[in-house]
Amino acid sequence: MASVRLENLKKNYEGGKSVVNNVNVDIDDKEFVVFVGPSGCGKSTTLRMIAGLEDVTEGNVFIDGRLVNELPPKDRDIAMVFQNYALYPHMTVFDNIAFGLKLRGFPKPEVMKRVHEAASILGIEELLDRKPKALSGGQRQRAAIGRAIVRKPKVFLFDEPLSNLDAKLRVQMRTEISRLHQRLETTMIYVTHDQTEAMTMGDKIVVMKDGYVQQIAEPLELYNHPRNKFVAGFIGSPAMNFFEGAIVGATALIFREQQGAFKLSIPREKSRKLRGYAGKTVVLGLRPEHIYRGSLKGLKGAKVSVDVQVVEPMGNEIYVYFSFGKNGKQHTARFDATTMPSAGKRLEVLFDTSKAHFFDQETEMVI
Amino acid sequence: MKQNRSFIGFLVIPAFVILAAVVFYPFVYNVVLSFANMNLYKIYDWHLIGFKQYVKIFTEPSQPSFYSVLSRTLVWTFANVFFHVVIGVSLALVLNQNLKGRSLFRTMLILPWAIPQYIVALTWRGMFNYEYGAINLVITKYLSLPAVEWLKDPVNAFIACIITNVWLGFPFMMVIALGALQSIPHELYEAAEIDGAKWYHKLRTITLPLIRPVMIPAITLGVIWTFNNLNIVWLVSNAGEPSDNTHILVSFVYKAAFNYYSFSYAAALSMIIFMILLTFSLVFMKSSRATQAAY
Repeated sequence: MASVRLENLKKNYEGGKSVVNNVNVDIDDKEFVVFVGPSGCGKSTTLRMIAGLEDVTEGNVFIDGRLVNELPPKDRDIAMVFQNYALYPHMTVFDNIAFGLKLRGFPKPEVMKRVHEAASILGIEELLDRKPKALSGGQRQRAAIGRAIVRKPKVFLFDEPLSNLDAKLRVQMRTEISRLHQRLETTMIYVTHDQTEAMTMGDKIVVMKDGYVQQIAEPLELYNHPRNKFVAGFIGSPAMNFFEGAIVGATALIFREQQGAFKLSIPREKSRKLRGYAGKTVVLGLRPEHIYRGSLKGLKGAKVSVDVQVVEPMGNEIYVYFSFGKNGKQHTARFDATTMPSAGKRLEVLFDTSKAHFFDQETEMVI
Repeated sequence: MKQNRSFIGFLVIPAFVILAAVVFYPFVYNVVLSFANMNLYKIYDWHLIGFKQYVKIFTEPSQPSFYSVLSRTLVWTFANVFFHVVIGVSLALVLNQNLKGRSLFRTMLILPWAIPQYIVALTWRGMFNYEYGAINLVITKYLSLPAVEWLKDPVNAFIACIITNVWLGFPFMMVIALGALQSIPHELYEAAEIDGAKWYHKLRTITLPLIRPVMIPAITLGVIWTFNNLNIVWLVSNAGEPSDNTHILVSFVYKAAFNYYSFSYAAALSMIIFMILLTFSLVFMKSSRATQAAY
């Protein structure tokens, strides 16, 4: 159990290509922190620097208060689970899990005890004699996790561990890893490109893009109060809709969509900050779940008429892809699965302006 | 369907005819010859004599004796394949690192394999020359040791043949090993590093077991090629000199067939070579479970 601190962490590859820039993150003891972002954002490189598999170009990595920049991976007391499991194919599951213990000279009875303990936690006791190729994807990942937990390290590192599994198994393993965290009470750092994994598993989420940290916050904080347009668009599924438009009006501010497709009054609590933007273009962000059918009563908001392009019934809900005009930019709304709107028709919807986010068009920071 | 079948036949028959002409017919003819008494005097009126040629090989004394040639062949094969694999795998391990100019080294190291054996053999024979050869020059001038009679002494001449063939054959093993090394996922090494593995642990527990499925068939091929390698022994030692003391089985067969014209005797010898290699291949491939995929 240990805290991890990243201080002004930087990574440049040969030729000066910078992949991680000024990353500052404090991870508390027993915390489950998820690094999330699109591919190439530097999240895996950051994790590999914590593990010691990549050299740190600048900055410091502290594990349990100790500077570990120069320590080899084996001396950092960490364990890592890889995306493609990294199981030794010619060894049985038992030997795979026991490998690290044997190398560290643990006595045989202790190795046996710990391997069986780990296997029983993960429900793979009956698979210990099998080789990895005789296991399913989920079983392989369990064996890989077994190899990590058996050493009882201070910090667990997970590098996209569920990416190779099918959707159903991914959900199952997600909850298993969360349960494991509750049971082991160890610091876990988890890297993924899947925002659902990040939202459901993390105590704290670090959103990264192009090597920079965009925001560090708890899941709901990220969802409700994104710091910038990137975080707003990345967190949440389906993604947030963005509409460009101008702020007009003197006393009561109004947002007028660029093409004149709709206008909406800006709620009083947001007016104060938006006043300085009068006459300028801003970006309005509205999540698909904050757009309702016009027929819903008792809701305040702006009525907007849209052209339905595609309707996707999901069973419990409906995704409606709409635009303004036939060739306009596509946006998404999420409705209850009561009645299906028809594609190709016009539809009255309600934009819940109290849930709207406004972003500076140039800096993309929230207003 | 019928048209389809005749089209398949049209595609298959040419290959089948060629195989029959260059593999099946010569093989069957060789089997028949090994049970006959064909030689220079009986080129046309030869007849079958049963196992007499085989009995002659195993029981009658010859110059050189069959058993000494057989044991020399085993030494030749083992020494060559051993050094091919050790040098090849070691160089592949070096080339698999992030070296500067890696592709240049790789090309240079493959060169011996790309040069025709005939030229290599004669070049090395020249280098082993007692008076003017480069090797004795290095030994006397730079190591201050006495010159070695490479081609006059039977043991030295045989060692010269082995050195030549080792130089010629390691690139094959190197290329195969390099391909196998590059297919090992680097995460395995990273996982091992985190587990606390040193370089020799990684070599023993990851690298060697994972290149094994590729190396076993390559070693099998290497054994067959080396066992049957006529060119090097024949050309470096100049047809088994001194006094037929550097022969391996296949050069012995060649001498029996085309210098002594004992065709049936040579055919029986080549059947023995065939049986040895067939048994070796089957046993080795099976016992090493070479065909089992690693992943």
